Amino acid sequence: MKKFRVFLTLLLVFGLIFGMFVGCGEQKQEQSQGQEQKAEMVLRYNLGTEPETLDPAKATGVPEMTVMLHTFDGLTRLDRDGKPQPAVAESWEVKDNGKTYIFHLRKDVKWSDGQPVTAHDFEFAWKRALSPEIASEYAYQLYYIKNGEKYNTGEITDPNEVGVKALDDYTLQVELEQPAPYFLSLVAFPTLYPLPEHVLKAHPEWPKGIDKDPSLYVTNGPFVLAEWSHHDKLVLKKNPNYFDKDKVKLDKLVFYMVEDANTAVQMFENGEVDMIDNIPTAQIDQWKGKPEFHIDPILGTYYILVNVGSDKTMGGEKNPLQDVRVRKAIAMAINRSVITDKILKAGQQPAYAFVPPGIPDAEPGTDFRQVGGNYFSEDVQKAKELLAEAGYPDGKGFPKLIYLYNTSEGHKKIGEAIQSMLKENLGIEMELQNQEWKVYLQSRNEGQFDLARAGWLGDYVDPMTFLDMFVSTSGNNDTGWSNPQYDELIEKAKYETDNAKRVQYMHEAEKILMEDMPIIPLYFYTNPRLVKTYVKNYAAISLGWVDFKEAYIQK
Amino acid sequence: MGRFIVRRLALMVIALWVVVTVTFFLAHMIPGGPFDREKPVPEAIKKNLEEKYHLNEPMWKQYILYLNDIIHGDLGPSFKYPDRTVNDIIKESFPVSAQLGFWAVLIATFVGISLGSISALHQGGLIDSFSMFFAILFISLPSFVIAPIFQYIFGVKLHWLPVANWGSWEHMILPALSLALGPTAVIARLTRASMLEVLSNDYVKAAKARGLSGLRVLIVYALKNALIPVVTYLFPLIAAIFTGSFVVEKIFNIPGLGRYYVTSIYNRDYTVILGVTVFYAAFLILMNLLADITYALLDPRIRYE
Repeated sequence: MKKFRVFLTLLLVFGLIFGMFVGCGEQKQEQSQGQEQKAEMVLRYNLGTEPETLDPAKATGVPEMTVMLHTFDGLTRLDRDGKPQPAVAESWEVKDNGKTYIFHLRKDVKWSDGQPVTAHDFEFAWKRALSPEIASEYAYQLYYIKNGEKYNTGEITDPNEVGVKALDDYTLQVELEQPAPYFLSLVAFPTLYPLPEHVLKAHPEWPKGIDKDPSLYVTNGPFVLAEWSHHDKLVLKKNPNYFDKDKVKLDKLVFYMVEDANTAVQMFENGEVDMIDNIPTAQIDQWKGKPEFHIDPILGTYYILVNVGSDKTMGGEKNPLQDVRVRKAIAMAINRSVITDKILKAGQQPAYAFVPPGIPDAEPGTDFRQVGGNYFSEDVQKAKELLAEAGYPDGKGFPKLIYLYNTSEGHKKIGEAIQSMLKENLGIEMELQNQEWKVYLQSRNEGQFDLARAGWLGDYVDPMTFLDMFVSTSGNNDTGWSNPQYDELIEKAKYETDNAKRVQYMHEAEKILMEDMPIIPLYFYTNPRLVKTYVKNYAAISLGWVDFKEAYIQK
Repeated sequence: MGRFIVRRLALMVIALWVVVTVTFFLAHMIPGGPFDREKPVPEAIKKNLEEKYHLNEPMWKQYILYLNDIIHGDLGPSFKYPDRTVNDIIKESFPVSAQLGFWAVLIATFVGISLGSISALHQGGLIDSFSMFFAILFISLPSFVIAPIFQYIFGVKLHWLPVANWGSWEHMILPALSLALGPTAVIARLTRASMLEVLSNDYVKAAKARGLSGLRVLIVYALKNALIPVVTYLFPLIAAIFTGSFVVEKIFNIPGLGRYYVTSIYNRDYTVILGVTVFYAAFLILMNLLADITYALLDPRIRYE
C-alpha cells in the first residue's frame, strides 16, 4: 500500500511539472487577447510552410521570399505586373552598353533601428552573399557582377575585386561581366537586398537568434518582425521608420505555416485566416463561382521530360524516344483539355509551347506567348502516322516505357491519364513509377527514366528563366538533349542589348526546342487562391508571391 | 534496486550508441542529399555548402566528428534551417508535444480506467457492450480520420473551437482528444480484462464477503493489481505521445516535435534525423526503466536484484 502511495505521489509530481508548461500557454493567450482589443488592421495569410531562413543571402523559396518582401526593400521593387520600380534607388544610369549601372539612392531610407540605409550596406550585403563561407545557394544570382563568380568559387580571394562599389553614401556603382537586360528586376530579389552592416558586425551569426529577439532583425521594408514562433506563426508589424509608410495601411501581417491543405481550407471557412493558396483539387468545384475564389497567374509550365540521351530504355531495349517522330507522336496523342478540365479544374491552360503566357514581348503590350503562338497541335491521326513512319505501326514492337513522377496524388492522376491516352491512341504501353522527391530528383539527374513529369516556375519575368535550362551545359537539362544551334541562340540572347533582337533570338530558340521536342509541354500553371472579400489591394505577383505592402481590410 | 538502476543506465548508453551508429549510416545511405533541389545548385556552390557542413569529409570522419559533438551535448546545425540548431529545434518543439501529450495521456488514463472498471463491474450489461463497442471503434479509426471530422464539426459547423494552430487552451482540446481516443480505448479494454481476472480472485471475494461496498472493493483492493498491464502499456505510450505525433501535429498545425521524424528524412536533414531519433530512443528507454520501477512498487513479488 505504501508503495502504491509512492506511485501516486510520482504521478502528482509529474502532473505538477507539466502543469507548469500549461501555465506558460495560458500567459501567452492573455497577451494576444490584450492585443486584439485595439482596433488594428490585421491580415492573416497562410504561407504554407515554415521559412527555412530569413537571411536574404541564404533564402531560396517562395515562402522566404514572401516574408522578406515585406521586411526589406531592394534597389527596386517589383510592381504587380512584375516590372521593377524605384525603391531604395530613386534613379539609375546605365553605361558601357549596359555593363555598368550607377544607382542613386534615396536619402530618407532608414533601417528599422533608425540608422540610414547607405550604398555601403548594399556593397556589404552583396559581397557577403558571394563569400564562400556564407555558402549561399542563390549566390549565382550575383554571378552577373564582375568577378562575382570568381570570388564565390575561391578563384580570387580579395572581395574588393568584385564589381560593386559604394562611390559615396548614396551612390552605388555596379559593373557586370556582361550586359544583363533583366538586371533591374534582379536587384529586387532578396539575394541583392541591402543588409545593416552595423548590426551584422556586432552579430556575425545574424540572423541566428531573431526568433528569440525579433528586434535583432533590423530591416528597411514596410514591416518589421514582431514574432516568429517556428512552424506556428510569424508576425510582422508596420515599420514606423519606413520611407514610404503612408502607403502602408496594415498594422500587422500574420503569416501562418499550415502545411495541410485541408486544414487550411477549414480554417478559412472558420474565419481563422484571410487568404490561402493551394486548394485541394477535390474542393475546387465547391468554391468555383464564389467571390472568395481567385485564379491568380503564375509563371510555370508542367511538362514531360523525355530521355533522349540514353540508347536503351529502362527495360533494356533500344530507345525509340531518340526518334523525334516518336516524341512528336506522343505529344500529339495527349488530350490536354482532359487534364486541365477534368483533373486540375483551376483554369490551367493546355500548353503547346514551353514559355508560359504572362511575359512581355518586345513590343509594349504584347505577350511573348501570343507572339510565339503554338508550336504543335493535338492530332491523333497524324500521331499514328508519325509512329508508323518511325517503324512502330499501331505501337507494334514498341518497348514498354517507364513514366517517372514524384509521389503525389495529382501527378499520379495525370500520369494515369497519359498512360491510357497513349495506350488507346498509339498502342504504347507505359508503366507508372513513383519515387519520393529527392530520390526522384536523383533518378532524373542520372537519366534513370524514359519519360518523367517535371514542372518549372520562373525565377524572374523573362523567357530566359525558362529557355536557358535546356542548353547543353545546364544542370537542369536532364533530357540528354543538346543542340548547338539552340545553345548559340541562347548565348546570343543573353548578351544582346537590343531588346527586339534579344526577344527574336529567344523565339527562334523556343522553336528549335519544340521542333526537337526533348520536352513535351502539358499545361501552364495557375495559382488558385481563396481570399476573403474584405481583403483589398493585394498584389499577386506572377512569380508566386503576394505583396501586401499596400493591401488593406475593408469590412 | 539502486544497482539495478545503475546497470540499466549503463546499458542505456550502449543502446544509444548503437542507435546513433545505425541511424547515422542509414541516414547517409538514403539516395539524394540535403542540398538537392529541383533547380540544382551549381557545383561550386554545392562545394561551398558541403565544406561548410563537413559533408565533403569521408564518412568515418563525419561519424567521429558527430560522435564527438554528441558527447558534448551538441546535436549540430540543421541543414534545412541554417539558422537553427538541432538542440534549439528539440528545445522549442518538445515542450509543445509534451504538453499536448500530457493532456492526451491524462484523458486516456482517466477515461480508459474508469470505462474499463465500470464495464468489468457490469460485465455483459448495457454499459459494457456500449463502451466496448466504442473501444473497438476508436481503436480501428485512425487519427487522420478522426481529426478532420473534429475540425469540421467543432470548428467549421459549430464554431466552438479553432480548427488549427497553437497558442491557447482552446487550441489544445481537439488535438488532445484526437490523440487520446485510441489509447483511451486500449486502456479501457486492458483494464476491463485484467479487472475481470482480479475480481475473480479469492481476496476480492473475501472482501465482498465481509460486506464491503462494490466501489470500495474495486478501488481499494482490485484496482491496484488490475493496473499492472495498464502500466506496461502506459509508459511506452507516454514515450510515443509526449514526443509528438506526425499526423495529429500536421493536421492541427502544431509546432511540435512529431513532424521532424518524417520531414527530416524527406529533407535529408541528417543532423535532425539523428537528433530526434536519439532523443526519442533516450526517452523511450527512460520510460521503460520507469515502467520496471513502477512494477516493483505495485507488485511486491517483483524484485530486481
